[in-house]
Amino acid sequence: MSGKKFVRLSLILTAVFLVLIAAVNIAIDPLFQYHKPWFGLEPVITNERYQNAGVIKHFDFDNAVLGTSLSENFLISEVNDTFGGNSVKLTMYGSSIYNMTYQLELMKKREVKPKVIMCDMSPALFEAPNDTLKNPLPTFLYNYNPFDDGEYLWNFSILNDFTYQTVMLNVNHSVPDYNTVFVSEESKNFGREKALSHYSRPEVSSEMVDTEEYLALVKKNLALFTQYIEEMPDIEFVFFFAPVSMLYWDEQTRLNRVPTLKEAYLEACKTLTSYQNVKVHFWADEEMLAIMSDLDNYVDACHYNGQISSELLRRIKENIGLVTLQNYQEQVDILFRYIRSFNFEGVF
Amino acid sequence: MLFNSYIFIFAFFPIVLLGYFGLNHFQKYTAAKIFLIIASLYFYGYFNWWYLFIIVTSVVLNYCFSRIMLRGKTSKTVRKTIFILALILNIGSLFYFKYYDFFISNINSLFQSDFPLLHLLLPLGISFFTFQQLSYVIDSYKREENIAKYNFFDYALFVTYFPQLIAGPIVTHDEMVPQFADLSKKKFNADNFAAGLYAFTFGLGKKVVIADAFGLLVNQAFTDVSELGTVNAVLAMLAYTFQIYFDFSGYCDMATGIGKMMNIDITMNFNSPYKALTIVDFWKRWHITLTRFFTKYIYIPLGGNRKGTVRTYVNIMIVFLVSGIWHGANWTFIMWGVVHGIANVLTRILDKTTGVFSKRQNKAINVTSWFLTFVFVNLAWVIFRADSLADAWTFFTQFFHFTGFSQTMELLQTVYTSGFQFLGHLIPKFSVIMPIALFAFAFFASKFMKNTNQRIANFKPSMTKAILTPCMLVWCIMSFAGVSTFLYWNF
Repeated sequence: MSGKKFVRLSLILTAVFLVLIAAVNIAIDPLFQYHKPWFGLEPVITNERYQNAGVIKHFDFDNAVLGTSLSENFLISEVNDTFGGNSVKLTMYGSSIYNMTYQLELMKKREVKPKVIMCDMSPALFEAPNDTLKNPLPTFLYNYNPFDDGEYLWNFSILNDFTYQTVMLNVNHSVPDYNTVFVSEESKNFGREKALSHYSRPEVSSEMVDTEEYLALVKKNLALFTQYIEEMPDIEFVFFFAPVSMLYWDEQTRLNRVPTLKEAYLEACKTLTSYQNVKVHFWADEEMLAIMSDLDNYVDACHYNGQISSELLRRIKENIGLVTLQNYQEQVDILFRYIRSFNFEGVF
Repeated sequence: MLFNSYIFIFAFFPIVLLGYFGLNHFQKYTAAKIFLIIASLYFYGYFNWWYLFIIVTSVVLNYCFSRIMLRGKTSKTVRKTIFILALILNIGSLFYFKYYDFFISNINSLFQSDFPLLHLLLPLGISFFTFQQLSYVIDSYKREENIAKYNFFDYALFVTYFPQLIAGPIVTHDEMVPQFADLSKKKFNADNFAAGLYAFTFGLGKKVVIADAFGLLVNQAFTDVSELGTVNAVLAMLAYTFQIYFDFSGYCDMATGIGKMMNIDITMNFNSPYKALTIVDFWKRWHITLTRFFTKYIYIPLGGNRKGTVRTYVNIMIVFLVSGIWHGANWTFIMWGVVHGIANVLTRILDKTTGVFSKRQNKAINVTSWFLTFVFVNLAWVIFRADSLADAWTFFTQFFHFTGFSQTMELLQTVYTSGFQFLGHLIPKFSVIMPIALFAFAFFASKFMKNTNQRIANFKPSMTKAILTPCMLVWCIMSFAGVSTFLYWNF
């Protein structure tokens, strides 16, 4: 065989193999980058980071749950009941507002915008980096650039973990129920013992947090979100301050961070409530404070169980705890007064 | 940019080939060189654009130094002054970027001082292009033949040519510049392209399919070496031995292949080192161009073997000490260089006193000698790979920590990468067979199979190769996502 023939045959075969593999991935499209499922396949959604982008690009929905792991335990059926219409869950554990901007950017490019975007608020979001990804994201999926699609089309991991899985779960009629998508498996293992086992109590610190520096970061993070609130005025943004447990507040008290966090909460409330298309839920009523104080509702310092998630949705549906530019300070004061007077030693 | 990336395979390299051969086709030879320099700088700057400033400054300065030294009317004193200045600048910049923090942190711990560390970003391949330029500066000082004929573009291309830019081989100007000037090499040659494509694919497979799989096991094992136990420590040691071999030789094969596709012969850097019968033999096969550099510019100027036996051994130890330092700013690399130096000296003493390697060769001696060499190289790689000397010591103590096969299957399963998992859908029990088969294949390939240079020396295209090459190429492309970077580009 001549060199010329070798080169020609090798290159043609390479191209043919690549086209065939790409064709399979495009047809099944397990990450929904090009279309909704074809051939009557049920969508198999198992991976937040890899599949959220495709869901935003190609699914029809009225409401989207953005946010962190604090929003993962909502049931889709209950979100539908809260806001009406079809909902999708686009949460990502360990997310940050900077990470969410990748999703919001795609949302902005959708022709048909959702009616509602719901998102949790918590100190983890305030203090996350505002200019880099907090956790890795397959950014090649979060754009419409065809030149970086190679990583999707020719990738053994995609072929194994998504394409093959999509086909096999459909063939075996065992596609997971979308109602419980991303619901934590640990939801059955919540309880005081578990929560305490995940908590390591820090030494009491007398060092002061630089509140000004912290607030500057909070403002930058909030600004990342508010630019999309301004750019998409027809969408109603619903924020809720996640009821983290008193273990979390024990940690913050011992680290001498509570006064700074109060300032951050005030800043976030002030910023968000100043928009017409935003609803902010801040709960500091007796019932919610009791929930926060009962470690049986938690798996660690922050994450609450499905029952609490349902309760939050009920409150959102019934507009309970809605704060405005006029009354947010009062609610924040109640929460932080409770934290200051709480007997943390009694927890242990 | 990595060779094992989508952008390199699908965009960068095809564009470079088209541009280079296209410009040469229209006899725009200088433009073709400039195009290749710009492409190489893009390849380099793709990692970090800030690196470009360093490499461009370094190339311009060294070329200026060379021109001054080569000018007929430059006095001997000026020539010597410029030469010393060039040495200081080249070695100084290497020290500054690579060793400054190491040096200061040692000073701090020795004298309880508190000098600040710089935490500089190490420019990739700085050791390689600095050494290439040093050799050029030294040869300019000596006013070696032909060197005065090179213009700036010849020189810049010799330093920046992308296949050898970030991880060698450390080529010399007389190997590369004449090839870039050779008119017979300017035209697309299907035979060379076929051999190059074959070598590139072979190297890519070594890197992506084999080295990266072993890399996963190695990373897991070295995360906490205190819990390994005998079996897992041996596995981790072997895995690293194969990882670094397939990684580095894979890179060299790819560089060779890319060069060959462009009709450029890149100097052989790797010649089946695990076939070596002695440690002296090993260093004639492993990173050949680095050994050549040290021999020419350190060992021989120190007197080589011309000043008596003891001085020869001292010179060898100095060369290996420098080699250790060159590999990285950590005591582990220095210790690795020292133990190789000691082994080298001991081998020479043994041979000198008994003639066991040079005069009394027989099969039994060869097998024993090969085995001892292989075991030594394995043990030395542990020092090389460990994060600290303390970790290396802990690793060695694990050889005597008999814990049976605890966690062995879990450790072996780490090499079961997504490509192999795909095959696992088709072949029953593949997840159990594959890790063991990978170790067996790696050993067999490195000990008994022909290396890529031997394969392409008399490359004969065949239907089998024309089918297997695209299969391997596609397999590798499918494995790109999530693969690690090359081990040798940090040196």
